[in-house]
Amino acid sequence: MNAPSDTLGAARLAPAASDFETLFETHYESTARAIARVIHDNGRAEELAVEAFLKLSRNPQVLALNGGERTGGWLHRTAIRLALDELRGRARRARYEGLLVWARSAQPDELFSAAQEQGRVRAVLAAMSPRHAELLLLRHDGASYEELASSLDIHPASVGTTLSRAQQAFRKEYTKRYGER
Amino acid sequence: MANDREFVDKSLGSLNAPEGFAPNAAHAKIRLQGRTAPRSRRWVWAAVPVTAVLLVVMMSVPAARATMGMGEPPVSLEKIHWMLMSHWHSLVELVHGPARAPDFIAVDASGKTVRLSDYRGKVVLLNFWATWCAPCKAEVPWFVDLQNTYKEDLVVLGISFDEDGWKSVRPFIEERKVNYPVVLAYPGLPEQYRKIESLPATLMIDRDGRVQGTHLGLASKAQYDALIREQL
Repeated sequence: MNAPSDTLGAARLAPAASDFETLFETHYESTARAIARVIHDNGRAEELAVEAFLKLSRNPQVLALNGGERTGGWLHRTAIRLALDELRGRARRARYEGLLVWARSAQPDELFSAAQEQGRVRAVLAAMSPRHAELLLLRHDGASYEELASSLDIHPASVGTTLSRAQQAFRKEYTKRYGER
Repeated sequence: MANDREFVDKSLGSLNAPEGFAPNAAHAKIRLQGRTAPRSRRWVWAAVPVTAVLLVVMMSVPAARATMGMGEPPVSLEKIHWMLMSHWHSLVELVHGPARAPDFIAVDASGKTVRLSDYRGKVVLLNFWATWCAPCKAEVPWFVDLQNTYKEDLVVLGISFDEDGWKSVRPFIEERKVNYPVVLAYPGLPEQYRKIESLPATLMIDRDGRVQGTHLGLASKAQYDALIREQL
């Protein structure tokens, strides 16, 4: 049976549109919050959360899992990836704009953010290897070793070692930039 | 000294979403529906002027004209360069759609932080004004009325250019019972909004944060009303 034309993602998801709507209702807020926590920008967090659901709507394999928890895990990982991409993009833009520093004045939120611990942590995450940053954020959000292994496509036995390396890399980058805390 | 794991846990534990963040699923649903709809073919239309410009440029290169046995170019390269620069923003808008309004953060008269991107999902009427500007003051009661009429979907946001700041602005907004947020312009903000060359100036920003129109000078209440209704 075809879904009504005004249903979310109906063009691609006719058989599972109602499941998609349920997933959206269930996970939208947590997805947007996970992104906002990393990038600290409400408006952009909501845009990226929509992006995550758009990716979901175009990924029939994940939708076929048809399990709220497993799809929720996929959404969370996608949200973290999008948030980290955004952070790295901002860091890159800031570097380019730094070259033209005479052409623009620093915005108040940039000045405020740089002075705060949160701003430092975000800068370090943006500078690290994407895999390490993703691993740390997912682990901090409570992902199990099995979930981390599946998310990063590594053997479960090597998750501990990779995680430990990521933690070292984070601390090293933080200390290099801001000194010991 | 904390070990690496504790260090990372403490660092990541400091991260949080901006205060008062309340994701709006209803607006997100509308955006998602827009994104799953068939894609726009604006780029096809953009290809027409781009091709025309390329042809004119080619025809103006003396070497190319000599190869084709043609004389001196009727339009100089300098003139073409000037024309391209003049219309560049229009071409970009044709391809990418209207530009996003530059985000800013400021504090209103009550000390509350106001950030433009926090109003995504609502239509924003961004008004640049000052208490010394007579036409600006004439518009204020209209904005108060419009804010009342469309309180669910519209946010009027005033940016004052008064040099002495709240000293002039606070008594004015209290006396006129201004019911929308007003912030003060700060160094750097006018440069973000390059089209603002005089006061009053008003930008109509859609629910996705894109500038759908800029009006310089005094307009009528009916005009603003019509512009708002176009975006609702």
